[in-house]
Amino acid sequence: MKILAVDDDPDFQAVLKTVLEGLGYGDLVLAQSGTHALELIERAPTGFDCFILDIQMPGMDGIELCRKIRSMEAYKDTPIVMNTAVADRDHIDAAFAAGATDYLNKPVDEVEIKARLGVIERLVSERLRAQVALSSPGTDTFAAPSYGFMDGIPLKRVDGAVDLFAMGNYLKTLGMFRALSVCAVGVRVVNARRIHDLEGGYVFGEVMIDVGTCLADCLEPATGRMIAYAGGGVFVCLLSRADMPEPEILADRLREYINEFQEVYADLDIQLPTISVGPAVHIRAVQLGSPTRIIDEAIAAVKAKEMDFATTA
Amino acid sequence: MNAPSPSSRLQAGLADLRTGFLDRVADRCLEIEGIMAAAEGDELTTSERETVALHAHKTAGVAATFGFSRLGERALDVERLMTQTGDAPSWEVVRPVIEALLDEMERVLDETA
Repeated sequence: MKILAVDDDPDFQAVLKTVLEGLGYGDLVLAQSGTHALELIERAPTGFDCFILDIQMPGMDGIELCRKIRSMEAYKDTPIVMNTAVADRDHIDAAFAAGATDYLNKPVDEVEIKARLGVIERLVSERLRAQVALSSPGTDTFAAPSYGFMDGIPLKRVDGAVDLFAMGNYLKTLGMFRALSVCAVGVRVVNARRIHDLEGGYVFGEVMIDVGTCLADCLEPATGRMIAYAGGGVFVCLLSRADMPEPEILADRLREYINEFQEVYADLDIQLPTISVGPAVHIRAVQLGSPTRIIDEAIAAVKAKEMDFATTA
Repeated sequence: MNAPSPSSRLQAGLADLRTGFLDRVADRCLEIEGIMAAAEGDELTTSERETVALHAHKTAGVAATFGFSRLGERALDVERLMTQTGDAPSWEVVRPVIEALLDEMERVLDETA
């Protein structure tokens, strides 16, 4: 796994290099600033598989650098791990909003880094396998992405979208007060399987992005909300409990937005997505040790719910 | 914040880096002391606050990894204070926190001399 680590402190760079090499991550490139990192990215003959960015750096800080890296097509899905000694909420929220995948506190803890990079390495391997499959003989490398029904779909045009892994990592960074004040809600496209089977993987991906966009618009007033696609036509939204509308109100609003696509979808002879919204799930005090459970619970809750409305009416 | 328990291989690697870190702690200690002496009784300028915050930030990032957990904590206290949003904290608030960092830097340097 080729890693680019960016930190302005030579001591920290040296420590990180020693730790990563000790863990077997020898393919490491170091940069002293955001500008230096962007130069290295531009010059690198082969891409990086993972970035580790310090947040507080003179000049371009790590959050701005994260945003710039994330805006590059080649790195739209590449894991970005943010790193800082000052773990305050503003920094953490800004990092995830800029597209960070995970968050590590300084000082370097060998055990923590080993565990986090192990997960990231598995993600990188899975993505590489998917790329190889796409570029294997008989397939067009430049073909539009065709998604399997349960595949992850990058919601890159959707404001506030993160991948499910990053959403889980964000939940783990919350302190007790914040953890108790957020909730997750599952949103399911009830006729997702049918749309996938009738229209194929590419159109299915575009329909899911449309649903994600409508969801983002519905939740617009809520600050700090996150939207992730969980596969199989299911989305998870994370937002403050104070900002969470009643599920039925959210469902009605979402259907209104989706209905605006009705004419276009009819012209293309594509079924309009039918929406079901699950109950809001929040972290209970006994679950503070495993806050990511609310993601699974929100998905399970919306899957268990029967179809309650058809927008195609 | 406790120091991690590094493996022996990591420990050997860190031992090589520790001397360089302590040299930089000595330099930072002198520079911060100079800023404090010059500012005695007055508020720190923006530039002085940024310098102190930067030294504290760099110290906080690695001190615990080299086995100086308390130094890392004192540095983090200073970094938090120097980078907090809103009005700059008064000299009465800033001074004891920075002095606690300087005391800890001197203690570490004395111990490892």
